Amino acid sequence: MEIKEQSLRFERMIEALVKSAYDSGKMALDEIYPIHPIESYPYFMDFFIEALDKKIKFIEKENIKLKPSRIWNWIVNILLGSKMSKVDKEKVIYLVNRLLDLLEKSMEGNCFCEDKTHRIIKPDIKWIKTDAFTEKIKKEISKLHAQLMCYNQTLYWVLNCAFREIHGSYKVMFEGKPAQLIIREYFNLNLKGNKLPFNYVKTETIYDKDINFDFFVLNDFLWDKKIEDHMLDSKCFFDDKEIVNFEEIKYFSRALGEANKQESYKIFSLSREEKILGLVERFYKTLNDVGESIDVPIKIVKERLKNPKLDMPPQKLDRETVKILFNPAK
Amino acid sequence: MEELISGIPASCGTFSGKVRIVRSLEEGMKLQEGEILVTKCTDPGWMDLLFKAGAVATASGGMLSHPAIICRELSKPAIVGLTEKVFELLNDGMEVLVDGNKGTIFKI
Repeated sequence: MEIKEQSLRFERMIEALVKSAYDSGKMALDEIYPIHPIESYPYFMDFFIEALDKKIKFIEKENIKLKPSRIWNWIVNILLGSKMSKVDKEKVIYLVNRLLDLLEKSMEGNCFCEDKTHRIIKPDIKWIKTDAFTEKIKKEISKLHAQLMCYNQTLYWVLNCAFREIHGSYKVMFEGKPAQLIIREYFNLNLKGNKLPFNYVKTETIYDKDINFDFFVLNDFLWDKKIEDHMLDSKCFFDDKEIVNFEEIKYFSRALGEANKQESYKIFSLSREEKILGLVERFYKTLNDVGESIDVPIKIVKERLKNPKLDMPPQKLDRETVKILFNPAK
Repeated sequence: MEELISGIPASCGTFSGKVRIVRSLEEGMKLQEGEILVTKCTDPGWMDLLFKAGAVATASGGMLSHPAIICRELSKPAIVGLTEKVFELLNDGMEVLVDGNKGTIFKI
């Protein structure tokens, strides 16, 4: 890729990241649940970048199509992490370019969500109405969406977007009228001995055209009206099995709620060191879904944790600083 | 109605009810169904409280903070980023209207 072209692509990437991570208020916080990733980078990011390099080579060789949010998760963390762990700038530029190439292959729509959509598939545009969809189910679907979002955060902390893919909005026809489809997918719902009766959930939900969705990179999205008022239909899949029964959806939603309580309780009692180790393990989990498993450098992280010079207290960052942090060339 | 404080309109809709200040998860026991949850911020451990509240108002957080995301999914009005001043202006039991469209809390 020519330098001018690369520079333009980086500019678009930086704008997309600033919108998603800073303008949204996320990075303006000095507290991120349960630990700010900045605190963890000096202990492992140099090793992680080497591991990611190997994994990307494997992904490229095998021509594996990844979920875009996993790729964005890697991009944002190596951009920030490399600046706090003294990784060579040229290496970061090289990796980010390859990740952006993978991203382009994984998308159907605009890679940087500049058109406010995050489209990764070509869906059937004609939707077959679900017979069982009622007002009662609509309420339960909203609760399920909230529970999924929450549990995903409890389980994967700040890396939550690497384990979900919410995509759309797709233009579809519903009962002869134009409507919008949003697909929410949550992966790897069991981690370290959790025993949910399912490991993957997908909902496909139809909304009327009067609600406006705005998707960001890093897999977040906003909308401008009461979402429930605009929901027309929904299909729920637990481990690829479609569930239409209201009581069953309610049961699964409650199971998520219970798992969320148990997991948050565990997090509540973790020390700072345990949180850093937990976050490093989760970082490696993002690598180990494909190809050979790469070991977490636990011993090195534990050794580095003894060095007070590596302590990186979380801090509030201004917009200009964030722009520099997201720039691989700076 | 008297305008009390404004923040970021994080989830649209309006809701009138009684204020309940909750400074920690333990204090959450005091929250009654349909009260307005006023707190610094929430995290995934606060999920039951978010289900119980009629509306949510937080001192910190942005459009993609935990309370904002969850309240939008639940179609429940929410205002975030109200700053610590919210604790000076609101008291337990105070009747207010949370306007999630404008991001303003009014005294009724």
